[in-house]
Amino acid sequence: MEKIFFYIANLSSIIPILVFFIYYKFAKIEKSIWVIMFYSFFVLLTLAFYLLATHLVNNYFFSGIYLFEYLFFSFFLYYAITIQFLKKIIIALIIIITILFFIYIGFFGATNQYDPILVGGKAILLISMSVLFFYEKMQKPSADFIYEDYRFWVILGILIYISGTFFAYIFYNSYQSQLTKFIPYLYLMYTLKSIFHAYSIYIFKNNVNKSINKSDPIPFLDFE
Amino acid sequence: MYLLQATNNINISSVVLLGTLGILILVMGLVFFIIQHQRRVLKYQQKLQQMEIDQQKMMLSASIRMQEEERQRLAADLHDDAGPLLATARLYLNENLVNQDKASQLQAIFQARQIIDETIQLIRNISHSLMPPTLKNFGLESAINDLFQKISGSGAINASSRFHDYRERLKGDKELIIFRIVQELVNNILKHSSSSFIHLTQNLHGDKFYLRVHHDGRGLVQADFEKLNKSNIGLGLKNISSRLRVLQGKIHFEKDISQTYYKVTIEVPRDDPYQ
Repeated sequence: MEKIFFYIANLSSIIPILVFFIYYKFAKIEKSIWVIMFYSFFVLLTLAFYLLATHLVNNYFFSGIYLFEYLFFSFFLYYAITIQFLKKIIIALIIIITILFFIYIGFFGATNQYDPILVGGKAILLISMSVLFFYEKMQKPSADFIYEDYRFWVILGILIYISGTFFAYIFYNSYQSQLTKFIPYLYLMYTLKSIFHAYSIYIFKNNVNKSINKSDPIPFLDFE
Repeated sequence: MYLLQATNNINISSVVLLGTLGILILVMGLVFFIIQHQRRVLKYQQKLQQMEIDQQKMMLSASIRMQEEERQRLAADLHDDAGPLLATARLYLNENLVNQDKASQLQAIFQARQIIDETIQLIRNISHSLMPPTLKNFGLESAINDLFQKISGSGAINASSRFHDYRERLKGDKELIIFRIVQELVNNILKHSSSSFIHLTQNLHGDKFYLRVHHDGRGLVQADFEKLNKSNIGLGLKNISSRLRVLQGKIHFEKDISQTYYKVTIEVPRDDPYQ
Protein backbone atom coordinates (compact mmCIF):
# COMPACT_ATOMS: atom_id res chain seq x y z
CA MET A 1 0.00 0.00 0.00
CA GLU A 2 2.77 2.38 1.00
CA LYS A 3 4.59 1.56 -2.24
CA ILE A 4 1.51 2.51 -4.28
CA PHE A 5 1.37 5.94 -2.63
CA PHE A 6 5.11 6.28 -3.18
CA TYR A 7 4.75 5.67 -6.93
CA ILE A 8 1.65 7.86 -7.23
CA ALA A 9 3.44 10.71 -5.46
CA ASN A 10 6.59 10.50 -7.56
CA LEU A 11 4.82 9.84 -10.83
CA SER A 12 2.49 12.79 -10.19
CA SER A 13 5.41 14.93 -11.36
CA ILE A 14 4.43 13.83 -14.86
CA ILE A 15 1.22 15.90 -14.63
CA PRO A 16 2.93 19.33 -14.88
CA ILE A 17 5.10 17.98 -17.72
CA LEU A 18 2.04 16.68 -19.55
CA VAL A 19 0.15 19.94 -19.11
CA PHE A 20 3.21 21.80 -20.34
CA PHE A 21 3.43 19.70 -23.51
CA ILE A 22 -0.33 19.90 -24.16
CA TYR A 23 -0.13 23.70 -24.15
CA TYR A 24 3.38 23.85 -25.51
CA LYS A 25 2.73 26.73 -27.95
CA PHE A 26 3.14 29.51 -25.42
CA ALA A 27 4.19 32.84 -26.90
CA LYS A 28 7.00 33.19 -24.38
CA ILE A 29 7.77 30.71 -21.66
CA GLU A 30 8.98 32.41 -18.53
CA LYS A 31 12.06 31.21 -16.71
CA SER A 32 10.05 30.30 -13.61
CA ILE A 33 8.00 27.85 -15.71
CA TRP A 34 11.24 26.25 -16.91
CA VAL A 35 12.30 25.86 -13.26
CA ILE A 36 9.09 23.94 -12.53
CA MET A 37 9.67 21.79 -15.60
CA PHE A 38 13.26 20.99 -14.60
CA TYR A 39 12.10 20.23 -11.08
CA SER A 40 9.46 17.78 -12.36
CA PHE A 41 12.06 16.09 -14.57
CA PHE A 42 14.42 15.96 -11.62
CA VAL A 43 11.80 14.15 -9.51
CA LEU A 44 11.25 11.61 -12.29
CA LEU A 45 14.98 11.14 -12.68
CA THR A 46 15.44 10.49 -8.97
CA LEU A 47 12.60 7.97 -9.13
CA ALA A 48 14.26 6.27 -12.07
CA PHE A 49 17.58 6.25 -10.21
CA TYR A 50 15.86 4.88 -7.12
CA LEU A 51 14.30 2.05 -9.13
CA LEU A 52 17.19 1.24 -11.44
CA ALA A 53 20.11 1.70 -9.07
CA THR A 54 18.62 0.75 -5.72
CA HIS A 55 21.96 -0.49 -4.44
CA LEU A 56 23.38 3.02 -4.85
CA VAL A 57 20.60 4.73 -2.94
CA ASN A 58 21.80 5.88 0.48
CA ASN A 59 21.33 8.76 2.89
CA TYR A 60 23.57 11.02 0.76
CA PHE A 61 21.13 10.51 -2.11
CA PHE A 62 18.22 11.76 0.05
CA SER A 63 20.27 14.65 1.42
CA GLY A 64 21.10 15.60 -2.16
CA ILE A 65 17.40 15.57 -3.02
CA TYR A 66 16.71 18.02 -0.17
CA LEU A 67 19.40 20.35 -1.42
CA PHE A 68 18.15 20.22 -5.02
CA GLU A 69 14.54 20.72 -3.94
CA TYR A 70 15.63 23.76 -1.97
CA LEU A 71 17.61 25.07 -4.95
CA PHE A 72 14.76 24.54 -7.44
CA PHE A 73 12.18 26.24 -5.24
CA SER A 74 14.58 29.06 -4.40
CA PHE A 75 15.30 29.69 -8.07
CA PHE A 76 11.58 29.67 -8.76
CA LEU A 77 11.07 32.30 -6.06
CA TYR A 78 14.02 34.25 -7.42
CA TYR A 79 12.29 34.53 -10.81
CA ALA A 80 8.84 35.04 -9.25
CA ILE A 81 9.90 37.99 -7.11
CA THR A 82 10.63 41.29 -8.85
CA ILE A 83 11.95 43.46 -6.00
CA GLN A 84 15.71 43.56 -6.49
CA PHE A 85 16.52 43.66 -2.80
CA LEU A 86 14.54 40.48 -2.15
CA LYS A 87 16.16 38.79 -5.15
CA LYS A 88 19.56 39.56 -3.67
CA ILE A 89 18.49 38.04 -0.35
CA ILE A 90 17.39 34.85 -2.13
CA ILE A 91 20.67 34.55 -4.04
CA ALA A 92 22.66 35.16 -0.87
CA LEU A 93 20.64 32.44 0.90
CA ILE A 94 21.18 30.01 -1.98
CA ILE A 95 24.95 30.49 -1.75
CA ILE A 96 25.09 30.38 2.06
CA ILE A 97 22.83 27.33 2.38
CA THR A 98 24.71 25.40 -0.31
CA ILE A 99 28.03 26.05 1.45
CA LEU A 100 26.55 25.17 4.85
CA PHE A 101 25.06 21.99 3.39
CA PHE A 102 28.45 20.76 2.21
CA ILE A 103 30.08 21.75 5.50
CA TYR A 104 27.35 19.90 7.43
CA ILE A 105 27.57 16.79 5.26
CA GLY A 106 31.38 16.96 5.38
CA PHE A 107 31.49 17.11 9.17
CA PHE A 108 28.57 14.91 10.24
CA GLY A 109 27.90 12.82 7.13
CA ALA A 110 24.43 11.87 5.93
CA THR A 111 23.23 9.96 8.96
CA ASN A 112 19.48 9.78 8.32
CA GLN A 113 17.07 9.55 5.39
CA TYR A 114 14.98 12.32 6.97
CA ASP A 115 17.65 14.48 8.59
CA PRO A 116 15.70 16.88 10.85
CA ILE A 117 18.26 19.66 10.40
CA LEU A 118 18.19 19.50 6.62
CA VAL A 119 14.43 19.00 6.38
CA GLY A 120 13.63 21.62 9.01
CA GLY A 121 16.10 24.17 7.63
CA LYS A 122 14.80 23.71 4.09
CA ALA A 123 11.17 24.05 5.21
CA ILE A 124 11.70 27.16 7.33
CA LEU A 125 13.72 28.91 4.61
CA LEU A 126 11.24 28.11 1.85
CA ILE A 127 8.24 29.16 3.93
CA SER A 128 10.02 32.44 4.76
CA MET A 129 10.86 33.04 1.10
CA SER A 130 7.29 32.29 0.08
CA VAL A 131 6.15 34.91 2.56
CA LEU A 132 8.49 37.34 0.73
CA PHE A 133 6.54 36.65 -2.46
CA PHE A 134 3.26 37.44 -0.72
CA TYR A 135 4.85 40.50 0.84
CA GLU A 136 5.76 41.74 -2.62
CA LYS A 137 2.25 41.04 -3.87
CA MET A 138 0.86 43.18 -1.06
CA GLN A 139 3.35 45.96 -1.79
CA LYS A 140 2.50 46.09 -5.49
CA PRO A 141 -1.25 45.91 -5.85
CA SER A 142 -2.33 44.94 -9.36
CA ALA A 143 -5.65 44.89 -11.18
CA ASP A 144 -5.69 41.07 -11.25
CA PHE A 145 -6.44 38.85 -8.31
CA ILE A 146 -3.53 36.98 -6.81
CA TYR A 147 -5.01 33.59 -7.73
CA GLU A 148 -5.02 34.65 -11.39
CA ASP A 149 -1.23 34.62 -11.20
CA TYR A 150 0.32 31.22 -12.01
CA ARG A 151 3.13 31.81 -9.50
CA PHE A 152 0.62 31.90 -6.69
CA TRP A 153 -0.39 28.28 -7.40
CA VAL A 154 3.23 27.10 -7.57
CA ILE A 155 3.99 28.73 -4.24
CA LEU A 156 0.77 27.43 -2.71
CA GLY A 157 1.83 23.93 -3.82
CA ILE A 158 5.26 24.39 -2.26
CA LEU A 159 3.76 25.73 0.97
CA ILE A 160 1.24 22.90 1.30
CA TYR A 161 3.90 20.29 0.60
CA ILE A 162 6.45 21.76 3.01
CA SER A 163 4.13 22.70 5.84
CA GLY A 164 2.20 19.43 5.53
CA THR A 165 5.30 17.29 5.80
CA PHE A 166 7.37 19.43 8.15
CA PHE A 167 6.52 17.85 11.52
CA ALA A 168 6.33 14.29 10.22
CA TYR A 169 9.80 14.50 8.62
CA ILE A 170 11.33 16.12 11.70
CA PHE A 171 10.11 13.42 14.07
CA TYR A 172 10.33 10.52 11.63
CA ASN A 173 13.78 9.21 12.59
CA SER A 174 13.09 9.31 16.32
CA TYR A 175 9.58 7.84 16.21
CA GLN A 176 9.66 5.81 13.01
CA SER A 177 7.38 3.02 14.26
CA GLN A 178 4.66 5.42 15.38
CA LEU A 179 4.82 7.66 12.31
CA THR A 180 4.78 5.02 9.56
CA LYS A 181 1.02 5.45 9.29
CA PHE A 182 1.65 9.03 8.21
CA ILE A 183 3.64 8.03 5.14
CA PRO A 184 0.63 7.85 2.75
CA TYR A 185 -0.46 11.24 4.00
CA LEU A 186 3.02 12.67 3.23
CA TYR A 187 2.80 11.26 -0.29
CA LEU A 188 -0.60 12.89 -0.61
CA MET A 189 0.97 16.27 0.14
CA TYR A 190 3.61 15.54 -2.49
CA THR A 191 0.89 14.69 -5.03
CA LEU A 192 -1.06 17.82 -4.17
CA LYS A 193 2.04 19.89 -4.86
CA SER A 194 2.35 18.36 -8.35
CA ILE A 195 -1.34 19.02 -9.06
CA PHE A 196 -0.95 22.66 -8.03
CA HIS A 197 2.13 22.97 -10.24
CA ALA A 198 0.22 21.52 -13.18
CA TYR A 199 -2.65 23.92 -12.54
CA SER A 200 -0.19 26.83 -12.44
CA ILE A 201 1.02 25.91 -15.94
CA TYR A 202 -2.58 25.85 -17.12
CA ILE A 203 -3.14 29.31 -15.57
CA PHE A 204 0.07 30.54 -17.23
CA LYS A 205 -1.20 29.38 -20.60
CA ASN A 206 -4.51 31.18 -20.01
CA ASN A 207 -2.74 34.39 -19.03
CA VAL A 208 -0.58 34.23 -22.16
CA ASN A 209 -3.72 33.82 -24.28
CA LYS A 210 -5.39 36.74 -22.50
CA SER A 211 -2.42 39.03 -23.11
CA ILE A 212 -2.35 38.01 -26.79
CA ASN A 213 -6.06 38.85 -27.12
CA LYS A 214 -5.52 42.14 -25.28
CA SER A 215 -2.83 43.27 -27.73
CA ASP A 216 -4.98 42.56 -30.79
CA PRO A 217 -4.98 45.70 -32.93
CA ILE A 218 -8.23 47.41 -33.95
CA PRO A 219 -8.19 46.90 -37.72
CA PHE A 220 -9.89 50.13 -38.76
CA LEU A 221 -7.38 52.19 -36.77
CA ASP A 222 -4.41 50.64 -38.51
CA PHE A 223 -2.68 52.19 -41.47
CA GLU A 224 -2.44 50.10 -44.59
CA MET B 1 10.91 21.59 30.66
CA TYR B 2 7.26 20.86 31.41
CA LEU B 3 6.56 20.85 27.71
CA LEU B 4 9.29 18.28 27.07
CA GLN B 5 7.93 16.09 29.84
CA ALA B 6 4.47 16.41 28.45
CA THR B 7 5.78 15.50 24.97
CA ASN B 8 7.27 12.32 26.35
CA ASN B 9 3.99 11.31 27.91
CA ILE B 10 1.66 11.95 24.99
CA ASN B 11 1.41 10.10 21.73
CA ILE B 12 3.87 11.47 19.13
CA SER B 13 1.31 10.89 16.39
CA SER B 14 -0.96 13.45 18.02
CA VAL B 15 1.94 15.93 18.24
CA VAL B 16 2.73 15.48 14.57
CA LEU B 17 -0.92 15.65 13.60
CA LEU B 18 -1.63 18.75 15.66
CA GLY B 19 1.62 20.42 14.59
CA THR B 20 0.94 19.72 10.93
CA LEU B 21 -2.63 20.91 11.21
CA GLY B 22 -1.44 24.02 13.01
CA ILE B 23 1.16 24.90 10.41
CA LEU B 24 -1.26 24.16 7.56
CA ILE B 25 -3.89 26.37 9.16
CA LEU B 26 -1.27 29.10 9.59
CA VAL B 27 -0.20 28.89 5.95
CA MET B 28 -3.78 28.76 4.69
CA GLY B 29 -4.67 31.64 7.00
CA LEU B 30 -1.83 33.68 5.56
CA VAL B 31 -2.94 32.94 2.00
CA PHE B 32 -6.56 33.71 2.88
CA PHE B 33 -5.55 36.96 4.55
CA ILE B 34 -3.56 38.03 1.48
CA ILE B 35 -6.44 37.21 -0.86
CA GLN B 36 -8.86 39.14 1.33
CA HIS B 37 -6.47 42.06 1.63
CA GLN B 38 -6.02 42.19 -2.14
CA ARG B 39 -9.79 42.02 -2.66
CA ARG B 40 -10.26 44.93 -0.32
CA VAL B 41 -7.53 46.95 -2.06
CA LEU B 42 -9.04 46.20 -5.47
CA LYS B 43 -12.51 47.14 -4.27
CA TYR B 44 -11.15 50.39 -2.90
CA GLN B 45 -9.33 51.10 -6.16
CA GLN B 46 -12.48 50.42 -8.16
CA LYS B 47 -14.41 52.77 -5.89
CA LEU B 48 -11.79 55.47 -6.39
CA GLN B 49 -11.86 54.97 -10.15
CA GLN B 50 -15.64 55.19 -10.17
CA MET B 51 -15.49 58.41 -8.15
CA GLU B 52 -12.96 59.85 -10.57
CA ILE B 53 -15.14 58.89 -13.54
CA ASP B 54 -18.18 60.48 -11.86
CA GLN B 55 -16.24 63.63 -11.17
CA GLN B 56 -14.98 63.79 -14.75
CA LYS B 57 -18.54 63.35 -16.00
CA MET B 58 -19.71 66.13 -13.72
CA MET B 59 -16.92 68.40 -14.93
CA LEU B 60 -17.66 67.63 -18.53
CA SER B 61 -21.33 68.43 -18.09
CA ALA B 62 -20.38 71.58 -16.19
CA SER B 63 -18.11 72.73 -18.98
CA ILE B 64 -20.79 71.96 -21.58
CA ARG B 65 -23.33 73.90 -19.53
CA MET B 66 -20.87 76.76 -19.20
CA GLN B 67 -20.30 76.76 -22.94
CA GLU B 68 -24.03 76.76 -23.57
CA GLU B 69 -24.52 79.64 -21.13
CA GLU B 70 -21.73 81.57 -22.88
CA ARG B 71 -23.37 80.96 -26.25
CA GLN B 72 -26.73 82.06 -24.88
CA ARG B 73 -25.13 85.22 -23.51
CA LEU B 74 -23.52 85.93 -26.89
CA ALA B 75 -26.79 85.25 -28.69
CA ALA B 76 -28.61 87.56 -26.28
CA ASP B 77 -26.00 90.30 -26.73
CA LEU B 78 -26.25 90.06 -30.49
CA HIS B 79 -30.03 89.74 -30.55
CA ASP B 80 -30.89 92.33 -27.92
CA ASP B 81 -28.18 94.93 -28.56
CA ALA B 82 -26.69 94.60 -32.04
CA GLY B 83 -29.97 93.58 -33.71
CA PRO B 84 -32.06 96.62 -32.64
CA LEU B 85 -29.15 98.99 -33.33
CA LEU B 86 -28.76 97.72 -36.89
CA ALA B 87 -32.55 97.75 -37.37
CA THR B 88 -32.62 101.39 -36.24
CA ALA B 89 -29.78 102.26 -38.63
CA ARG B 90 -31.73 100.58 -41.42
CA LEU B 91 -34.77 102.75 -40.56
CA TYR B 92 -32.70 105.89 -40.96
CA LEU B 93 -31.43 104.66 -44.31
CA ASN B 94 -34.82 103.75 -45.83
CA GLU B 95 -35.94 104.34 -49.44
CA ASN B 96 -37.67 107.63 -48.57
CA LEU B 97 -34.34 109.17 -47.72
CA VAL B 98 -33.81 110.20 -51.39
CA ASN B 99 -37.09 112.14 -51.36
CA GLN B 100 -36.14 114.15 -48.28
CA ASP B 101 -34.33 117.47 -48.24
CA LYS B 102 -30.56 117.58 -47.94
CA ALA B 103 -30.49 118.65 -44.27
CA SER B 104 -32.74 115.73 -43.28
CA GLN B 105 -30.65 113.38 -45.41
CA LEU B 106 -27.47 114.52 -43.67
CA GLN B 107 -29.15 114.24 -40.30
CA ALA B 108 -30.33 110.68 -41.07
CA ILE B 109 -26.91 109.62 -42.38
CA PHE B 110 -25.24 111.11 -39.31
CA GLN B 111 -27.64 109.25 -36.99
CA ALA B 112 -27.16 105.99 -38.90
CA ARG B 113 -23.39 106.39 -38.76
CA GLN B 114 -23.55 106.97 -35.03
CA ILE B 115 -25.63 103.84 -34.58
CA ILE B 116 -23.27 101.80 -36.77
CA ASP B 117 -20.30 103.07 -34.72
CA GLU B 118 -22.12 102.02 -31.58
CA THR B 119 -22.75 98.58 -33.10
CA ILE B 120 -19.09 98.26 -34.06
CA GLN B 121 -18.12 99.10 -30.49
CA LEU B 122 -20.62 96.60 -29.17
CA ILE B 123 -19.33 93.80 -31.41
CA ARG B 124 -15.78 94.71 -30.43
CA ASN B 125 -16.76 94.40 -26.75
CA ILE B 126 -18.29 90.99 -27.39
CA SER B 127 -15.17 89.91 -29.24
CA HIS B 128 -12.97 91.23 -26.42
CA SER B 129 -14.97 89.27 -23.90
CA LEU B 130 -14.15 86.14 -25.92
CA MET B 131 -10.45 86.91 -26.24
CA PRO B 132 -9.14 89.98 -24.44
CA PRO B 133 -6.86 91.87 -26.85
CA THR B 134 -4.51 92.84 -24.02
CA LEU B 135 -3.95 89.19 -23.28
CA LYS B 136 -3.30 88.34 -26.89
CA ASN B 137 -0.98 91.28 -27.57
CA PHE B 138 0.73 91.97 -24.26
CA GLY B 139 0.36 88.78 -22.25
CA LEU B 140 -1.07 87.53 -18.99
CA GLU B 141 0.60 90.13 -16.78
CA SER B 142 -0.89 93.08 -18.68
CA ALA B 143 -4.29 91.38 -19.03
CA ILE B 144 -4.54 90.68 -15.30
CA ASN B 145 -3.25 94.14 -14.38
CA ASP B 146 -5.82 95.59 -16.77
CA LEU B 147 -8.62 93.49 -15.25
CA PHE B 148 -7.67 94.51 -11.73
CA GLN B 149 -7.39 98.18 -12.67
CA LYS B 150 -10.89 98.06 -14.14
CA ILE B 151 -12.25 96.44 -10.99
CA SER B 152 -10.46 98.96 -8.82
CA GLY B 153 -11.65 101.77 -11.08
CA SER B 154 -15.27 100.87 -10.38
CA GLY B 155 -14.65 102.00 -6.79
CA ALA B 156 -16.51 99.03 -5.31
CA ILE B 157 -13.40 97.18 -4.18
CA ASN B 158 -9.68 97.73 -3.93
CA ALA B 159 -7.96 95.41 -6.43
CA SER B 160 -4.25 95.17 -7.12
CA SER B 161 -1.91 92.70 -8.79
CA ARG B 162 1.83 92.21 -8.80
CA PHE B 163 3.90 89.92 -11.02
CA HIS B 164 7.29 89.20 -9.47
CA ASP B 165 8.86 87.09 -12.17
CA TYR B 166 7.22 86.89 -15.55
CA ARG B 167 10.01 87.62 -17.99
CA GLU B 168 9.18 84.65 -20.18
CA ARG B 169 5.57 84.46 -21.25
CA LEU B 170 3.71 81.18 -21.05
CA LYS B 171 2.18 79.76 -24.20
CA GLY B 172 -0.87 81.63 -25.53
CA ASP B 173 -3.43 78.92 -24.78
CA LYS B 174 -2.00 78.43 -21.29
CA GLU B 175 -2.19 82.18 -20.60
CA LEU B 176 -5.81 82.25 -21.75
CA ILE B 177 -6.79 79.35 -19.48
CA ILE B 178 -5.04 80.94 -16.49
CA PHE B 179 -6.68 84.25 -17.27
CA ARG B 180 -10.11 82.58 -17.36
CA ILE B 181 -9.42 80.91 -14.02
CA VAL B 182 -8.42 84.26 -12.49
CA GLN B 183 -11.52 85.86 -13.99
CA GLU B 184 -13.70 83.14 -12.48
CA LEU B 185 -12.03 83.46 -9.08
CA VAL B 186 -12.31 87.24 -9.07
CA ASN B 187 -15.90 86.97 -10.22
CA ASN B 188 -16.69 84.62 -7.34
CA ILE B 189 -14.96 86.92 -4.84
CA LEU B 190 -16.92 89.91 -6.14
CA LYS B 191 -20.20 88.00 -6.08
CA HIS B 192 -19.99 86.07 -2.81
CA SER B 193 -17.22 87.30 -0.52
CA SER B 194 -18.14 90.92 0.33
CA SER B 195 -14.43 91.59 0.72
CA SER B 196 -12.86 95.01 0.77
CA PHE B 197 -9.80 94.08 -1.27
CA ILE B 198 -8.38 91.54 -3.71
CA HIS B 199 -4.68 91.20 -4.21
CA LEU B 200 -2.98 88.94 -6.71
CA THR B 201 0.68 87.98 -6.69
CA GLN B 202 2.67 85.90 -9.16
CA ASN B 203 5.95 84.10 -8.80
CA LEU B 204 8.02 81.24 -10.16
CA HIS B 205 9.58 78.43 -8.19
CA GLY B 206 11.51 75.62 -9.86
CA ASP B 207 9.52 74.48 -12.85
CA LYS B 208 6.25 75.79 -11.46
CA PHE B 209 4.31 78.98 -12.08
CA TYR B 210 2.34 80.27 -9.09
CA LEU B 211 -0.48 82.75 -8.73
CA ARG B 212 -2.01 83.65 -5.39
CA VAL B 213 -5.17 85.64 -4.78
CA HIS B 214 -5.80 87.14 -1.34
CA HIS B 215 -9.06 88.63 -0.14
CA ASP B 216 -10.57 89.52 3.22
CA GLY B 217 -14.17 88.49 2.73
CA ARG B 218 -16.04 85.21 3.10
CA GLY B 219 -14.10 82.47 1.40
CA LEU B 220 -13.52 78.79 0.89
CA VAL B 221 -11.03 76.35 2.32
CA GLN B 222 -9.88 73.23 0.47
CA ALA B 223 -12.52 71.00 2.07
CA ASP B 224 -15.32 73.35 0.91
CA PHE B 225 -13.84 73.41 -2.57
CA GLU B 226 -13.65 69.60 -2.75
CA LYS B 227 -17.21 69.31 -1.45
CA LEU B 228 -18.59 71.83 -3.94
CA ASN B 229 -16.62 70.20 -6.72
CA LYS B 230 -18.31 66.87 -6.03
CA SER B 231 -21.78 68.32 -5.61
CA ASN B 232 -24.16 69.43 -8.34
CA ILE B 233 -23.73 73.10 -7.50
CA GLY B 234 -20.59 75.23 -7.97
CA LEU B 235 -20.47 75.30 -11.75
CA GLY B 236 -17.72 77.94 -11.80
CA LEU B 237 -15.53 75.91 -9.45
CA LYS B 238 -15.96 72.81 -11.58
CA ASN B 239 -14.97 74.87 -14.55
CA ILE B 240 -11.82 75.99 -12.72
CA SER B 241 -11.02 72.35 -11.95
CA SER B 242 -11.51 71.22 -15.52
CA ARG B 243 -9.38 74.08 -16.84
CA LEU B 244 -6.64 73.22 -14.33
CA ARG B 245 -6.83 69.59 -15.36
CA VAL B 246 -6.02 70.68 -18.90
CA LEU B 247 -2.98 72.54 -17.58
CA GLN B 248 -2.07 69.69 -15.20
CA GLY B 249 -2.14 72.31 -12.50
CA LYS B 250 -3.37 72.44 -8.92
CA ILE B 251 -5.43 74.83 -6.84
CA HIS B 252 -5.39 75.25 -3.10
CA PHE B 253 -7.91 77.17 -1.03
CA GLU B 254 -6.89 78.07 2.52
CA LYS B 255 -7.22 80.58 5.28
CA ASP B 256 -4.28 82.73 6.29
CA ILE B 257 -2.48 81.82 9.55
CA SER B 258 -3.77 85.09 11.00
CA GLN B 259 -7.29 83.87 10.10
CA THR B 260 -7.94 87.27 8.50
CA TYR B 261 -7.54 86.51 4.83
CA TYR B 262 -8.41 83.78 2.44
CA LYS B 263 -5.78 82.60 -0.01
CA VAL B 264 -6.24 80.81 -3.29
CA THR B 265 -3.03 79.42 -4.78
CA ILE B 266 -2.79 78.18 -8.34
CA GLU B 267 0.16 76.03 -9.32
CA VAL B 268 0.83 75.37 -12.99
CA PRO B 269 3.85 73.66 -14.60
CA ARG B 270 5.96 76.03 -16.65
CA ASP B 271 6.40 75.52 -20.36
CA ASP B 272 9.14 73.16 -21.40
CA PRO B 273 11.72 75.40 -23.10
CA TYR B 274 12.67 72.58 -25.48
CA GLN B 275 9.13 71.99 -26.69
